Amino acid sequence: MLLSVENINLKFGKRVILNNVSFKADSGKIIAITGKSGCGKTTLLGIVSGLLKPDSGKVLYKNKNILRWGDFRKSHFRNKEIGFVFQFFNLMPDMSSYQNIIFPALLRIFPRNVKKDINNLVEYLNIKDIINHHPETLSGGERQRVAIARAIINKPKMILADEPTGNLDNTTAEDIKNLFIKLKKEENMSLIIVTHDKRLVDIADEHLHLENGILKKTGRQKETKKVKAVKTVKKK
Amino acid sequence: MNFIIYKILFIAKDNFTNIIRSVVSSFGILFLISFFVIYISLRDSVTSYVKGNLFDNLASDEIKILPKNTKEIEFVKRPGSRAIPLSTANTIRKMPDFISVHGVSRIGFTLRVEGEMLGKTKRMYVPVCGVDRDFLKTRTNKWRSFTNRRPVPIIAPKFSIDMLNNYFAMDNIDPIPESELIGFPLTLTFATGARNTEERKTYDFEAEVHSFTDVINIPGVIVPTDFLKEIAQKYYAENRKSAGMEYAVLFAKVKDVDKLPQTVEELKKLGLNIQSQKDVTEKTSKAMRIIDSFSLGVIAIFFLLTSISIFNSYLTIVYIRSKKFSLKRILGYSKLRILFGFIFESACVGALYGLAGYFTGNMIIRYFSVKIPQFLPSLSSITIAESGTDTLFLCIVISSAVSAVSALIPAIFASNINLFKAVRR
Ligand SMILES: Nc1ncnc2c1ncn2[C@@H]1O[C@H](COP(=O)(O)OP(=O)(O)OP(=O)(O)O)[C@@H](O)[C@H]1O
Ligand SMILES: [Mg+2]
Repeated sequence: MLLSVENINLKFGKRVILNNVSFKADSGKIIAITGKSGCGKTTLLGIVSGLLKPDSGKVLYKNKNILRWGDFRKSHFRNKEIGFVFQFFNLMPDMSSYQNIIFPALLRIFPRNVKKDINNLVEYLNIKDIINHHPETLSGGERQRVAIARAIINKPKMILADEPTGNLDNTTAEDIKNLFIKLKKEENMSLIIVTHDKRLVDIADEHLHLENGILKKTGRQKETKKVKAVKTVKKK
Repeated sequence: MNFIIYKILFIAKDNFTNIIRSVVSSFGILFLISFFVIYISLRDSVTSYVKGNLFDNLASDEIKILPKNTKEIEFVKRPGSRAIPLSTANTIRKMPDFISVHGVSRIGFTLRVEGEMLGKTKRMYVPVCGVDRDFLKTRTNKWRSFTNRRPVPIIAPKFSIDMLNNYFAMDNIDPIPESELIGFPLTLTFATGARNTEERKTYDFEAEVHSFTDVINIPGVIVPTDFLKEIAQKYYAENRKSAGMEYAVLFAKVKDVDKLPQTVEELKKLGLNIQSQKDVTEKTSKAMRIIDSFSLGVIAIFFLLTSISIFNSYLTIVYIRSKKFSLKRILGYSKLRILFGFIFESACVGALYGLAGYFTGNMIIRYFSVKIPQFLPSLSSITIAESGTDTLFLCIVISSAVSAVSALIPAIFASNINLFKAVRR
């Protein structure tokens, strides 16, 4: 199991945001998380990525509790192991789209040459025309695609995406959906997607719903995947 | 490989605006460091001046004997000048406590020095004092030939070379270097009594320049004491009157350092003022303390102003860029790297200013070391030397440290921004 979130509890003040939340995510699987606005979806992703410490619980990544890690290891984890697509994009304002995308790749002392990868992504995400523009001149959808490109440039094991199709038109959203399927199949990535978009929920291997702090499995999952999921559970 | 260069350029560009900002805000370091350089070299020159001064430099077994109520050596006899009479000097010489006693002597005569250059005669009245040959023995290299001989050897202060050359320049004569002035023939005329009276007596002697010294601060010349004694004897023989020969100071070497306190007591009973190495050291260190405390005060003010301005500007950077810092962290920068980035950047800017401050300081020193003797010839014996590479190194280290320390707290703020709050904005 790539990621195992166990018994997470979190309160903001007196308000319970997450109440004993547990779920698992594996490589080559897509998990969709839905829930009402303000219910704590972004907060949950924040905990999974090590940006926020819960009051109690464990986040096991490859069987190691990332909540216990020091800053150095966490930073490395965020750079190499996960890619985060933020709800509000969080692009560097003083960098062009290209620089934003390449930035995570430059963090290593001897960086991998990703120029070719960027070209492919740019082609695929159709952001060639705005590649040298700065974020403030981009539309919401364009920013979203740049943010997605940035999240996957380091070929992480896991993508955390917060409303990745929220600002996109139908065709582009469809492209993103296909990209996610491709990442799942070809790169064997694990994708945890917070979304209201039915299309993304439909491609998910597992659909989780967060309500009043409680995370529950819902909906129907694709037959084949269901069998596979059961298999892995049995194996364990 | 290509990509690494791309990375370096990328990071450099990313930091460029920040660096410009910190360069501007760190400008105060320039003053801090240049003042520091000036202070260091001023301190060095004062120390070496005090140490190198012919009459201030005492060995541990040596004492300096001055007339009562006098603190400094009065090389030039003025009305009311205090002195050690020859008789007292003789008493001291006879004391068993000492290995040797030498001094600086004066005579109640005026001295006119006359020299000829390219057919033109120059005359000048100058103060004169006498020094024993053996006194020079432990203090200069060229002491052997400083005897009562003809032509009479005279020692002149170094700044007189410039003075002479200035005179020459008025007559369009090219400047003459020190080495060529050694052995230059002069005529000395000692005179006493008012002009055109019966008391008026004059004595002429052939003399030559023996050497120049920069470790004596009298605006006159030095001749052998024995030579002054000779004039005094001659005058006495002819007139049965004293020539006013006396000592301005005596230097005595004791046989037994342990007995020094008793010896000093005995001399004090004779109505004399005694200084030992300890006193001189105290005097020097007192002067040094004044220089130090003043300079350290100025440095502290510069330091405070500079570090506040650096601190402030980095804090502004943190505030403006907090979003960017947190994003960098989310994308994989560690706290340490953010911290190090800040510190490194400020240290680099500091080092730059250390370098600039060093050269600015030296430029100021160069300017003033030329200007000061022009206005105050008596200070010409203090040579303010430019500082060397060790000071340069010190400057760079101090400057980097000041800059880095000032940036430390903002850097800690920057590395501790709450990441989750930052991404939700
Ligand atoms: N630092 C904080 N202090 C107090 N309350 C907070 C803090 N951060 C988030 N909250 C609250 O926690 C709740 C969950 O926030 P979160 O951003 O996770 O919601 P969400 O499910 O992502 O909503 P949306 O769909 O609108 O993005 C919200 O009500 C929010 O106001
Ligand atoms: Mg949200």
